[in-house]
Amino acid sequence: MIYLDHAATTPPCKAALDAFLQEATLGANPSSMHRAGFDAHTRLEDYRKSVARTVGARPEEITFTSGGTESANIALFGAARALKRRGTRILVSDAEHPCVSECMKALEAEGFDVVRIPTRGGVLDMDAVDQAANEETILAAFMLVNNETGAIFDVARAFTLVKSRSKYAVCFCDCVQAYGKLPVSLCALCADVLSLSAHKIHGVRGVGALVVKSGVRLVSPVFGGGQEKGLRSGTENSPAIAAFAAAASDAHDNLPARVEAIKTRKAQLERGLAALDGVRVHGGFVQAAHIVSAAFEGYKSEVLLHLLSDRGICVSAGSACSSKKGAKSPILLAHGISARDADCTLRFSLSYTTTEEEILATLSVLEELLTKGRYRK
Amino acid sequence: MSFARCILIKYGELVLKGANKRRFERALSEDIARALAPIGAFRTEYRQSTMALTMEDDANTEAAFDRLSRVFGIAALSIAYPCEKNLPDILAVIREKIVPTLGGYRSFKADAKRSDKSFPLTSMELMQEAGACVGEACPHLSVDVHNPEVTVTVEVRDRLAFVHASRVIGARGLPAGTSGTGLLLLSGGIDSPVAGWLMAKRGLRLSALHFESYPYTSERAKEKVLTLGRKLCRYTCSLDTYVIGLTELQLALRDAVREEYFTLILRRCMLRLATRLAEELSIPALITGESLGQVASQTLSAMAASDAATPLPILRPCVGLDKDEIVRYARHIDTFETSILPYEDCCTVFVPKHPKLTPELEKIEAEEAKLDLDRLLDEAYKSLEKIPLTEEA
Repeated sequence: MIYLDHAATTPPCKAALDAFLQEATLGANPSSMHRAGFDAHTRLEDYRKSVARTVGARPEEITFTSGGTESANIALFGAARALKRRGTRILVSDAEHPCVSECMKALEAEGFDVVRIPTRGGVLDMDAVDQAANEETILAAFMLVNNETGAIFDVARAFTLVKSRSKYAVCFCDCVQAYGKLPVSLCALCADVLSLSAHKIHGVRGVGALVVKSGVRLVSPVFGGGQEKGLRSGTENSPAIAAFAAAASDAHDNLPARVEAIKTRKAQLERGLAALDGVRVHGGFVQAAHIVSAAFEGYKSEVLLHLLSDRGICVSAGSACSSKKGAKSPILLAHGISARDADCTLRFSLSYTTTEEEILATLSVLEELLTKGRYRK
Repeated sequence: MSFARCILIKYGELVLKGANKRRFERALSEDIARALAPIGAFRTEYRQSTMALTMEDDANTEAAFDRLSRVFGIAALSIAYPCEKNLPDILAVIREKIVPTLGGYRSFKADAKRSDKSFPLTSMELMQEAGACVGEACPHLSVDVHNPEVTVTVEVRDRLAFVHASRVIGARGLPAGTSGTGLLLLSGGIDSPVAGWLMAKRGLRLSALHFESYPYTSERAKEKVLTLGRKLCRYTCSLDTYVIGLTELQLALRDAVREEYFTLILRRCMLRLATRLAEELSIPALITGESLGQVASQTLSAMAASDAATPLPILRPCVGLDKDEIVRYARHIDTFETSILPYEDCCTVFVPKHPKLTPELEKIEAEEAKLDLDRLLDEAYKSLEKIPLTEEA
């Protein structure tokens, strides 16, 4: 199998699996008062330190969650509810992952004034941020790397603008796709809250984190035993957190080398795709190293995806939405990619583990399929 | 005192049958046995168009009740407590067995029926006794004779009395197979599972045929159809589902026939393949989920063009139903949520922008003559795959 769907999930690395197994074997609830519970708590705090180090944060700024979606929900609802007396305006890009865009719909229904900032051409529109940000603004949510196109948004500039207008605004950055591929920190992004996910960096699924700058108050929508300083009640998933810490350290310590490796493969893939007839690689914007998005003229993305899957190659359709619904990917459309191209877009996402042979084999299968032209629209 | 439970089963319209009645009853008994086979042993007693069914292991009674509520031919059913035909025993059952189940209700009424007219109390008197007994034991319940949340019923029958408070409407219709067999064209949509259910309800034993268009449709689309089939098995116990790959035929049609006729000709091809399978399986009728005027291929003339492609009758039980009505049925049989999963099905591949609304048969046939249709159909038929389905565990 050639796996080019690392933006969807990554296989856990050995360090993560070893850490998972070791922690799972030890057992004990970190909140228990006995000795075993205390030991579990101590280990949990060690994992927290490991993750904190990878984002330049203090350990107490790390809250473990079940993943990117829960992190975003706690951050967005937590900030909106904490600050609703200060104003109602919320800024968000029009290309966010559903874990943010769906929260925005719900907040809108609660009466918040949500302004969507265009990302045409894969660039966050700073003029629109400039126009929309006012003293009523209580929350801004911009992702660092787009999950479908890999576009990197200049969130630091946008957050600086927002903060220059509003003294209360909380700035949230979804770093799920950026983490492990770009340096990520609260300070460099001028952000107050970040979300991370373990399974995109060769950790295991079902765990992630929220990085909350000291002093920022969130009113958590999750109630219970008060774990994670009351932000995310529920017994901590220690084995998954152990795996997360191991994968995070691994990714952080090897970041430059890994990014270089991915960049080389990406360049190779993009060159190969561009040489194929009827293929347009989406670009023209600053892009993360691990995502290549391209339109295959005359093919529905789903059809090509199945044909590649038959040959053991795993990729994603640019649009996860169903063609039956007639819905094209809102993200691709927001980037200004035509509806026709959005309908025939595939996303290839790489890891440092992706080999030259895998890229060459993928290109060769694609060339063969496109030359045959058997299953065109 | 201990009282064993039984399930009281009222037969549906089959009690109205004349000389054939025994055949229908036998079929229903077989269906009941099939429905309960995975649950456990039981015994039955049939009297006065009502069956009293007792599970050998009382703990299986609820599961049996749930399954029986989906057996066609049953008009109503309830979990009842049989007892001796005397007032003290009847009231004891109410107090010990019925009252503890009434905590969640706000209003009730008591009802009584007496087929044994020699019973010393009249129905009205028995009703008053039962009502007073419930009222005394459950002060939180008010009496509502028009819209009660629960009805406590006492039935005095020839041998025993039965008390129950959980009567539900059964699946009604006719027992499986008493009307013959039918081949259901099962897509992934909302309508065809409903069509299959409606015809099964009228006593048809079903087989199903699905068409796939890989790679235009996905493995998930096929799995979705199999899930729909398994959901139908909740009513039919089993469903032999056949799958035929249509991709090559669709590609040939796309390249050869005028776009506006594509859907109609594809439909006629599906019916020809269905006919071939039906004849092989000795099934005398086809079933589709068409509803008049719902889409371009379901106009009257399009249906006529479809009919002309097969010598078999096409049963269209949804033909006069609105989408809302079909959706209501789909929710009732729990297929709706599966049907709306957003996977492409073979009918939506290469859909023409402007399909022919009033097709003429000669023109369709002229288009079809452009292709070696027999060879293409033969090729498609070779991909036939059989997947026997049973209800999901």
